[in-house]
Amino acid sequence: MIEKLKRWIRGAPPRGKWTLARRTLQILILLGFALQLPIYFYAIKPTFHGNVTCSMPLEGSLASSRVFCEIPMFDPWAFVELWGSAHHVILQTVIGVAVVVTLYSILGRFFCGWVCPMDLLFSLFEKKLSLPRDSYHMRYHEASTKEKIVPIISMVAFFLLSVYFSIPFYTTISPIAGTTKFFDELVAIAMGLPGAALGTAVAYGTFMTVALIVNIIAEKVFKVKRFWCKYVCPVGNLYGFIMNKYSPFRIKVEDVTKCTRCNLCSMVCPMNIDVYGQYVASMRDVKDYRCFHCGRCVEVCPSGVIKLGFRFRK
Amino acid sequence: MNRARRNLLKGILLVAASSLLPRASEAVKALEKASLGDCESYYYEPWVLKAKDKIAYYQALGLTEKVGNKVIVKNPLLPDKCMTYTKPYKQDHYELPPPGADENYASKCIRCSLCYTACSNMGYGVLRLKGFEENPAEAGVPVAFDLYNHPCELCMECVKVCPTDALAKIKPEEVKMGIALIDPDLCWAWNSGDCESCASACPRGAEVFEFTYNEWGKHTRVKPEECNGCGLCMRACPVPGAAIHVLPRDEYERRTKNFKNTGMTYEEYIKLIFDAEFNDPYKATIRSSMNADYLINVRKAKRPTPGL
Repeated sequence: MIEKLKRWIRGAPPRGKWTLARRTLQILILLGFALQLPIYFYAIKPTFHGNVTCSMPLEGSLASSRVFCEIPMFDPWAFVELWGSAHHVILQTVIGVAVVVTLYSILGRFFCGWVCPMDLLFSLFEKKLSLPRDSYHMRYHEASTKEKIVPIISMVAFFLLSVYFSIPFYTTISPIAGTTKFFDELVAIAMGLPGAALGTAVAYGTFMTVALIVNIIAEKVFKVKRFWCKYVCPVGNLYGFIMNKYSPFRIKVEDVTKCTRCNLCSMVCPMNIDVYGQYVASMRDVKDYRCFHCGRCVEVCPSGVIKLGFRFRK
Repeated sequence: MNRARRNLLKGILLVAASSLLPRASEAVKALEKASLGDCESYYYEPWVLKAKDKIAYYQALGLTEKVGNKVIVKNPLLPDKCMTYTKPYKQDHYELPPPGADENYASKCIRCSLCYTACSNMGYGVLRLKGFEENPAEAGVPVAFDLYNHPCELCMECVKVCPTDALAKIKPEEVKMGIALIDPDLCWAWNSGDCESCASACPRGAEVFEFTYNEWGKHTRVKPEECNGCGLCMRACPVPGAAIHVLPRDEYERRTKNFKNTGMTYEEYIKLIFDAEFNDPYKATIRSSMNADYLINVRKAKRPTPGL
């Protein structure tokens, strides 16, 4: 029973340390955001009647947060959209953006695989292994120019929509921040806080569910794997197109002589990167814009050819 | 098969009928409302007399008017208009922008919910995040939703945590959430009372409120350019449903322009009361005793302790 449940959660074994680590981090971050409210009401208010300005290590949502009450964080894509919607750059956001840009300049497109709660939800319903009879967009392949242009078009479209409606468009409908706020709101409703409203939870739940359903329909009906992450979401693609080019944290190819050409690394990749054909065969590190360092290929490799870690050369 | 289909049709008919029923009752209510004419608008309610002795009393004073099959009290200062009172806050409330927000703060807000968290953690619970109710484009924008039960203490913590400029970094004195408007017919201080609950609850006190003393009470007024709209006065008001309401700026302007549907501005209406009190004490006494009657017997307000 437990083995069956485990298999349902993360596909075929082996389930390695990287998957466990990133699932733990994702759940911790989601819980951190969801439980940002109760601390005051359950721990501080009964003991002494004072007000707290900061209660939890994580506050806010994935659009903008305060970490350990001090470090401001600000989504770079929200910064871009805010520039479009407010028609000028708001200078006080720059520190938060700089913190996030510095972090992901080191870690690359780390956000999508290790932080984003939507990856947790998408992976519950997707096909874990691509097989030779699958369609082009379900199998591993080198990203064509057309495929690379689509996310850029969606980025431009979201920016123009922000300018036109003068609201930060994707940040408003974002399932990323929406999921964290959805669980936060559910906890608040369960606690009966004055500001908690079912309408708010319904709005965020809608944003979350729409992204999930679009992704599932794209995979099951139109046979496009991870449609939302690859073609719609501008947050992850911003990290992918810019930070993945130079970030030292990456899938590195260590010892090609051990490779048995089993092609498992390409088959398990959730973002359809042709790890063997494009990178291992030519002894290059994986710097694909789609790679979010989930470490599935590292875990699945039977002979230890590829590793996940830091490398500053190349 | 046939029976199943018939049952299904029956069910559909039942559901349709049950969905129509509340609408029918609404229509009946709307008809009843229409019979009260100009006196009842969506934020004012007239005083409908029910007890026979009350009707006789006000008839003797020449202040009753029959609208439909209901007896309504007329305004003693304006003989051709009926007396209306502001509805309780529950039926007359608005969502107000949070402190430091300007008109288009929704375009600068990234819906991060930091202000909401800060407000909840401070224990005030003023802010709420909008859903799809009014404008779907504004889902996730913070609003002060119920200043009567959860007034803003102007701690400015939401402004401090706001990562963008949506809630501008301003001092507590410069906050403009809304403007408080006192109904002079519902307020104790305008009807022979000695009440200054709102002024003593106000964080800025005499800077915002001004008083005129005479035999008919301690007449309290709000300086609209000074009021922050925090809502602490509403909670302090001894009248159930509050005689002082914090309104959004456009709503405040609309109401003061045509106060109580009399065609007069708020200032003119107040001047009318003052004129009556200085020149025609008979009318002023009738007015204040009549309003006190309404306050005590209809609104069930308690007289504030003197010298509060």
